[in-house]
Formats: sequence, structure tokens, C-alpha cells
Amino acid sequence: MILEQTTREFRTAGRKALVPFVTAGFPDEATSLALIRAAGETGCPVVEIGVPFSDPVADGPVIQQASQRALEQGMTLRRAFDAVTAAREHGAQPVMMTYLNPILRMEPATFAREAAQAGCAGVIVPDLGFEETGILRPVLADEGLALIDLAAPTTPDDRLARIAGPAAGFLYLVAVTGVTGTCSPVAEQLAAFAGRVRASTDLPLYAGFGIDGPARAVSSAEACDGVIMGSALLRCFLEESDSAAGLERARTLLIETRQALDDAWGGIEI
Amino acid sequence: MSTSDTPAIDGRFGRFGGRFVPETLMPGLIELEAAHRAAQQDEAFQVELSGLLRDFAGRPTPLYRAQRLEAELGHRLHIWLKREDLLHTGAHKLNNTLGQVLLAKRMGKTRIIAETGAGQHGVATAATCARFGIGCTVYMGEVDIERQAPNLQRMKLMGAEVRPVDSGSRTLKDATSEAIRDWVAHVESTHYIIGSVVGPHPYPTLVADFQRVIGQEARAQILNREGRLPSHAVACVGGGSNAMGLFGAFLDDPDVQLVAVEAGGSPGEGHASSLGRGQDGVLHGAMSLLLQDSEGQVAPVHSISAGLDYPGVGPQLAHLADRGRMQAVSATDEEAVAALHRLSTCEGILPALESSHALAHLAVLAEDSTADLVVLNLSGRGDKDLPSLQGREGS
Repeated sequence: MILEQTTREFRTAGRKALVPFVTAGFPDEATSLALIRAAGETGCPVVEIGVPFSDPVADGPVIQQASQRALEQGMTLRRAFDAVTAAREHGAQPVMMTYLNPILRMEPATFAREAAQAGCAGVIVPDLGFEETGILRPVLADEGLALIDLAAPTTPDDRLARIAGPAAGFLYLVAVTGVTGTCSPVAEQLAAFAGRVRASTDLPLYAGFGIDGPARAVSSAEACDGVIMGSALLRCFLEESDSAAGLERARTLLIETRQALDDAWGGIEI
Repeated sequence: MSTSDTPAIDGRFGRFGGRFVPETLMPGLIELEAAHRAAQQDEAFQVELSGLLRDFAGRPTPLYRAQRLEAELGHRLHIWLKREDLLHTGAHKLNNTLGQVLLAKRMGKTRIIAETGAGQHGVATAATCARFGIGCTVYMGEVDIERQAPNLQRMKLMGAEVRPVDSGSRTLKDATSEAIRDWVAHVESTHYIIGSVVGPHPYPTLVADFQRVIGQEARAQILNREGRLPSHAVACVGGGSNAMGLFGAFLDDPDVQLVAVEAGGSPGEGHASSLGRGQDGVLHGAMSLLLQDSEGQVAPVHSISAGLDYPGVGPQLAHLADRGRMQAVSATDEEAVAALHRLSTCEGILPALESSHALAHLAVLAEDSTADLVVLNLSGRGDKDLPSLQGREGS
């Protein structure tokens, strides 16, 4: 799969991936597309496109607010394909994050086909338990898309091994026991968790939840192959009075985080 | 396929049920499932629970024949009310919270969280936690805090921390989402007492198990008093715990018609009839019938009753409706309020607005030639609804 090729090549090049999470349609559709473009220009190998859902139980207050505003402006699963295409055009592998119900409503096979046509490389479904992945993984695979599995600090070793088995693209490490954007990982604990996961797979490991700035990105990337930054980016828009100012601040955060990771690991320019 | 009263090992009821939660919660759910299984086999657990149900909760509850109500409805029906409103804290919810707190203790959990709509589950949780000296946090939507103010006071008096929820529709759905988020962050120390037969496996099975006592008592009581089974068993349905509690004992009695009465709402404001008008979907951890829009977003719902104001329904009820074993009907806000007034004046019993939806359906059964003997779950008392009723009279 193209996604895994990208994540493995990035690791081979000695670099740590920065994966921004962008809620499609927040603070408005044009600005979210501009942030995706900035992500591509900053050299992010993968961009996570968040599809807003009315009841996001894995998400903290920032992504909840972003989701609600995006929904109020008419964002849908199908419209989010435009954001996917934009990410692809700007050089990043788009991965969609959506709760399960909008996919069920569209029909999984239809979703997989249209996502692939839009240029999507992988899908993250935070409320799809590993035991239930049969309703999605095969139809995504038929279209060359990876279902990104998640592992949590609470996941025991034998279960980690089962999750790692069919995993593809990268494995998403939920870095803290909690929801997004509310507390941050302690480097030693994340390292211990990542060590447990490494015992089961050599897939690239990307850590998300609570990556709140360049310093945290560096301390968290130590133990894995990349970091995912969501709430910290979206908060820029909640705290600024207009979209342009929010975009500027989010872009700066991306560039500074990318730079901090490259300073720490001396990545090779590509 | 398994029969409806013996839930499948994987928590499936036909195509409904399952476990759709963030990975962080999965080990907690597996642990809970194991603890529940072990408790079912453990005589000491059962003895402790039945002792609490008798001495703390006040079981068995009476089965009461409402003869003046029968006369009011034309003398054709025999109407028996299962008086869960007389249970300690004023509703059937205590059956479940007692069972779950005992489970939490066995699992070594030190903190309890719960969601509440009408506040009855919150009060039952608060009372149970006070009884056991365990810390308790209850999530309640701001809309519900306003319309069920007496229950807010009761929870606080019993030492619970009540956290208002201001997201989304600010009702039961959002209180549930917020409780799930709390649980995701504290799953290792905290037990989440879901108040209905909803949520990821094993909750629908576990809550139905603890509520089954309602139907077991009612079945024995009606056989004792009338010498036969009822033609109809009737209960209101939000998530469905009082309905599953009553219906559980009659699933293998095909001649007993099971009737689930949902919130029909009001013409201007919508409804909450998930069984009648929902489509397959996943919310709060289970596949069930769900009120949703064409994009798969959860739809806004409305009921005058905070306990029925929920866009989903328990997966076992969805399955029973789907295979035709249970009939799903609805009563409007107005019909429920009228039924509340009728029972109050005819029988001197003030029912909860939730239970009043079930009572409203008696007027339909009074015209139904197949109905002659009805057992209705009077799941809660209506003291908590006085602010809503006063507001309605004033408008």
C-alpha cells in the first residue's frame, strides 16, 4: 500500500514524521484547505483529515468545538473528500479520521470507493473496536486503502499482538489514557508503551493525543516514528479572532514543530 | 441465531449490539464482562444483592390493580401496575445501580461515574454510592438540570458531584458522551454505571440482568392474582431498561404481547421514537436503531420526558422489534401528560412522565379486542416532574 511505503521511507530517511490533524470545514472550508496546503508545504508526509461527527466520544473539548462548527457549516463525509484531494495535491498522503456511523450511512463499500477516488490512503475510525474491523478492513483493502489500527496504554500485550497482526500503514499509538487534547504524554511512559508495541510489529508507530507543541513533539517522537498534532493546531483558530490570524498561528506551529524535529534528528533534506 | 433471552457470547442480538468504543476502553469492557460472568455464578454475590434489594431498595414491589382506572377506560381491561415507583429513590433504576456497585467493588474500582437524563439513574447511583461510601460523579445535561431540579438537589444531598454538560443538545445523549469521555480517561480506577440497556457489550446484557427482577416478580404476581399470564406487557422505552426488566420474564411466552411505548414528542419539536423511526447506526458503543440524518449525524430529538429524550435504544429491544416479537408504539407529550393526570386523579398515584407514556397507551389497548389483561411497568414516580408540569400549566 502506498501509505505504508511512505511511512517506511520516511523512517528509513532518518526523519520523524509530523502528522497534522485538520478538521475538514473548520473554522471554514477554505481555511481548512489552506491549512492542509501548509501541511504539505511543511513536508508533512501524512495529513489526517478529521470528518466532523455530532458525538465524538474519543475527543476532548477542542475537537468537539471544531466538529460542531464544521457541521454547522454543512461539512459532510462526502464533502471532506475535497480536503483529501487537496492534501494529495500538496504532496501529503491523506488519511481520513471519521467515526463509524457516517461510513455506515454511506455504506462501507461506497465510502471505500469514493475515498480511493479522492486520493485517500488510509482511514482511522476511533470507535471501531478491533473485533469489529471486519466490516471495514476488507472493503478498504479492495481499494488499496489501509485501515489504521489504534493501540492504547491500557491495551495488554497479547491484545497488542493481535492488533498488530493485520495492521498496515502505521500504527496509531494513543499516547495517553484519555481523550484528545486534554493531557499530554510523559516521555518515559510513552517510551515504555512504544517498547511494548515494538515487540509485536515493525510498522512505523505514530503517537497522537496531547502533542501540544514542538517540545512535546520532540520528547514524544523519541520513542516512535512520528507524532500526530490535532487539538494544539485547531486551538489556534479558537483563540484567534479571525481565520486568517488562526491560520498564520497554526502554520507557524507546524513550521516550528517540523524544525524542532529536524533539529533533534538531523533529518536528510528531501 | 440465539434466542432473544440468551444474549450471544459476543454481545450480539441479531445484527444489533457489539462493542464500538475507543481502544482505551476495550480492556475495561473485557474485565467487566468477566466480572459479571463470575458474579452470576457466585452465590455470595447473589445473596448480598438480594439482601440489598429487599432491605435497602424495598423489593418485592407490589403489583397493584388499578380498578378506578379500569372503570375510567371502560371496564374492559384488567390493569395491573408493577409499582417500581415505590422502590427506594423512586424508580426501577436502583435495581441496576446496586448490582453494578457490587461489581465495581469486586473489580477494585474506587470511583463511580454515571450519566443521567431525568435524574432517576443519577439519584439511584448517588444513593448506592452513599450506601457504600464510594465517590460518585454524575453527568447531566443543562436542559435536564433545569427541568428535573428536584433530582439535582437529591443527588447533591447524597454526596454526588453533578457535572453539568453544555455540549450538543445538553440532554441525556450528551451527558452519556461526557461520561464515556471521563471513563476513557479514568478507566483503570473508575467504573461507569450505565443506567440503561444501551452502550457496548456487556452493558445491555448486564443491565437487563440486574433489571430482570422486575419481570420475574411481576410474572409470579400476576399468575398468583389472576391465574394466567397477561395478554399484554407494557413499558415505556428511552434506552429501555425498565422495558427489558419487565419483558425479560415473558420472552418465552409467545402469547404475551410485548409493547414498547416510545416518546412521540410534539408536532413542533420532534420526537424520540428510535424503534419506530430509527435506522441502523452506531452511537455510544452499540449498533442499534438510531435517529440520524442522511449523513449519519445523530439527529436532534425531543420529548417532554428527560428520560426518554434519547436518539438511540438498547440493541436487544431493536432486535425484538425487528423480528416482530415486540410491538413499538409511541405516545405524544400531550398524551403522556393527560395520562399522568388521569392516574393521579383516579388512583392517587403520581407517575413519572416517562412511565406516563406507557400509561397513555392503555387508552389504545382499551379499544383493542386482543387485550384483556395488562401488566404495565410503572417505572417511576413523578415528584421530579413538578417543575415541568408547572411550566406547562403556566404556558
